Amino acid sequence: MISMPTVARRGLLPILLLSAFMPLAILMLVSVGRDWFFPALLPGTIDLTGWRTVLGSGARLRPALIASGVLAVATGVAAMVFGAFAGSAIASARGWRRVVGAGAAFLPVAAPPVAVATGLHATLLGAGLGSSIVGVFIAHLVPACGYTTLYFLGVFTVREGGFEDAARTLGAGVLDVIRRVTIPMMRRELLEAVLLGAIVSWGQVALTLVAGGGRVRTLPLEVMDYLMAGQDQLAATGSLLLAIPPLIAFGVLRLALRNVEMVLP
Amino acid sequence: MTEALSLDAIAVNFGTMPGLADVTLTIANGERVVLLAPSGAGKTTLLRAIAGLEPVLSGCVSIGGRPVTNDPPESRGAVYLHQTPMLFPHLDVAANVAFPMRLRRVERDVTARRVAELLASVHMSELAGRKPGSLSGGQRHRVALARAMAAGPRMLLLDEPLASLDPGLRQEVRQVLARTQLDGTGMLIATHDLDDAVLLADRVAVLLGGRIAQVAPAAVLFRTPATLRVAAFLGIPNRINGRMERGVFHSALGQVPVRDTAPDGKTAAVFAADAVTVARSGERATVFGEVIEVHSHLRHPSIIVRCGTVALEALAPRPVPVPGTTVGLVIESSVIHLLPGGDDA
Repeated sequence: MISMPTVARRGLLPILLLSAFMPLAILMLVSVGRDWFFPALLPGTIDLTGWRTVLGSGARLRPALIASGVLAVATGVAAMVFGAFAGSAIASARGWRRVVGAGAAFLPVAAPPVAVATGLHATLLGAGLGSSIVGVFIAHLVPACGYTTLYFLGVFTVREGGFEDAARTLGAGVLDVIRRVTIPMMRRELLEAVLLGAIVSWGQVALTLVAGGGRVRTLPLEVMDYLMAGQDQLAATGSLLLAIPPLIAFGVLRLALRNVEMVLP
Repeated sequence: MTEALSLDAIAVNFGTMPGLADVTLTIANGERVVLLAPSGAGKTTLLRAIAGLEPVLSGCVSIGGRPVTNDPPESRGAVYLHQTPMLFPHLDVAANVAFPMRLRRVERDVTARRVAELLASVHMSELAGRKPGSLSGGQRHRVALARAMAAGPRMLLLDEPLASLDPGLRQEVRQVLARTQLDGTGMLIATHDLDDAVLLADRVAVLLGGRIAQVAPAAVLFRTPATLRVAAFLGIPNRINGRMERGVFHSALGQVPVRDTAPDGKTAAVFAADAVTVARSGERATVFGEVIEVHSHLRHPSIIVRCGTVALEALAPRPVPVPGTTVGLVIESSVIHLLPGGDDA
């Protein structure tokens, strides 16, 4: 007789795989297919017009792709640095300081992006950063820093500071400790945080739209435009461009860090 | 000659709670001192405060004759070794040992020679290229000690280095600690284990109630504890409350012959189990009593003998008498230690 957990394992795994890969498979087919009508299982004809349109010379997705990439990398790196220091500080705090710190980190994650965007809009306009890529970068940092701070709060809560203490008494100053001990030992966590921050930025719509005032064009905004215009093939192609880079980044990170474990004493 | 360490009335909090107060201690160059205290007494806090990892509220810490109370950890000349050897997992064994010298930008060939010497001294030369994750617990401790010595410290601060090791590893690490050539470096080893204290220490400092209660060589400490509290912590089992009157100790056991002296008044006599033996035939017993319990220690079985209202622990003779047997006990008068004040001392 098969026990319930085994049934659950056998039944849930295919559902999980299906829910993860089915949308991607459909997007792939839509991006290269034409004349696909119900109840046909596959498109009637295959053509690469969509891909040529979005990636060809002079295509409007190219600058959007570059803007999204630059924003994602910049946001990921900045959010990692901020999150590492903030998470460490909150993890070492006690009592109400810890509660308030964790709450502050959680707020931009929990708040709907539109609410955050509206709140930021007036501030960015006042600072002369409205409708600029710098303004969008700052707007993306808000939720990204929330995620990375929460991530590092978890990391530093379980991680002992014994390695850093050992290094200090062996003669390392604060900067030497960060450079020679903390960064090399935490490279897995640091890279994961960069990826986390970059993914948060990569998929932003509301914050980009409000902070960029429609003038800063990123890939998600272009995909939204294609969808609104009913251009399904272009929307599917753009969506794949949105989905593939994070998956590749995740895979590369996994491969690069396959022998690096999280360090606990 | 300067001391390796001098603590002058230092006070350190346990987090936000009051902790250590008025801790005074000196350690000579090349001396091994064991800081003996029960769990939670503040051993780790004191070591971390000496290393500069905890703030000192008042008093003065001097290392190598230099006041360092307000100096950062890296410039104190004291290396703190955590209970778990904190070897850097991204560096191999040789690079771990070289770490303090790299920080000081010592020339590469000088560093390489010193690392080779230190690894040889802890019998780890053949594992120089291994990562810490592939070493046994004992090997990690040895590398941590070599790394600490590579920093050329004036003080080594070892926090429970033998705790959480199985008996085999314990023996291995104990031998490494006992054989380490200190060359003028002072060593302070925190432990709650009495055996470690006896085996490793030139002197033992007992930390009780946030203060150093006594500092003495282990043999002296166990024979002449400064207070009843120290005696109880050391596990000295025999204590007889009584009174000194004109140089004679009177107790519930009658007049007990003692060589130690104490002022007239309330007094307690304390002594170890090996000071009490069962009288052989023809030998004159100090007191008589009934065996009420047998303790089957691995090496030295002992018996608990009720003598009136007093229970005494004595070394068990062979064959071990069964409970209910009446025996005569001889108490070695030269090792009875008198503590004025009795109950409240």
